[in-house]
Amino acid sequence: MESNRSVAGRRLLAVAAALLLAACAAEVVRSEARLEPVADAQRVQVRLQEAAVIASSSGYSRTLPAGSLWELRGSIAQGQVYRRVDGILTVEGAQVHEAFVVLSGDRLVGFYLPVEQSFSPAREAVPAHFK
Amino acid sequence: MKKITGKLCMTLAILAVGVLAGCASGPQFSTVQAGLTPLAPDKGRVFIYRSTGFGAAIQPDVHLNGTVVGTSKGNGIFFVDEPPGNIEIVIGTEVEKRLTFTLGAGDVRYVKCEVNMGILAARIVPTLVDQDVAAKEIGDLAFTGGK
Repeated sequence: MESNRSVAGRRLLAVAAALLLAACAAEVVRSEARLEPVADAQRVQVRLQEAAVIASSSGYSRTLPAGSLWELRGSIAQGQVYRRVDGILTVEGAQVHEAFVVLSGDRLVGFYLPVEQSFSPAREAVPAHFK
Repeated sequence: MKKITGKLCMTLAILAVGVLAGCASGPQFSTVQAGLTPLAPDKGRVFIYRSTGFGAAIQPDVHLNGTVVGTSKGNGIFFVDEPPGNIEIVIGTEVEKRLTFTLGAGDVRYVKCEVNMGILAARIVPTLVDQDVAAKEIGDLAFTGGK
């Protein structure tokens, strides 16, 4: 029979491990990406038809709400880059970065980080329908 | 029993004083908001705030693009006007947390300093929030200045 002390010890270790993991969140994976911007007149705005949940490489996920408004800002090798107009989007790992989404066909494949000028792949591409 | 209750009250009172002593002081933001210096057309404005008194004893410097622009205090808010470009906010506590975002001319951005529990102490994580979110949180905060 396990003593109360041993159970308490295990719980303490579990809490310490959780805190340690939280302290060591991985930085988001990213690679350099060159944005080919569109002219101001071509910055079309579209709305997301259904909510989409997209996770960054660090595991943090973001819900993009249905009806949210996005503006085409250009393209990178991985797809077209849209910036949210009616809200903020960030990705989070060890640090926090403002992010735009990258759309390839009808799937969100990752994030464009405008300050770092880099692409960060989503953990998994997710369908997204803009109109 | 009375002794225990008395000690508990005393401890709570000391904790409360400690928390309050660590919070920002200044006029309530909602009372000064309308009179803030107008934003120059060639600049953007960054508000930096903490919406709770939790972890009030932790008051790290806030660095914006490598320069100290203020201190993150519990229940406090301040702003910085900057030329358009990339912004990097760094707040160092137990670990250094960084936030990057873009700022355009005429933009107003809100950086919320969230207090998370670290291994040894609270840590302050800067996050970019929507204006709608910030508007609900900043009215009662103490305004500590603008640059």
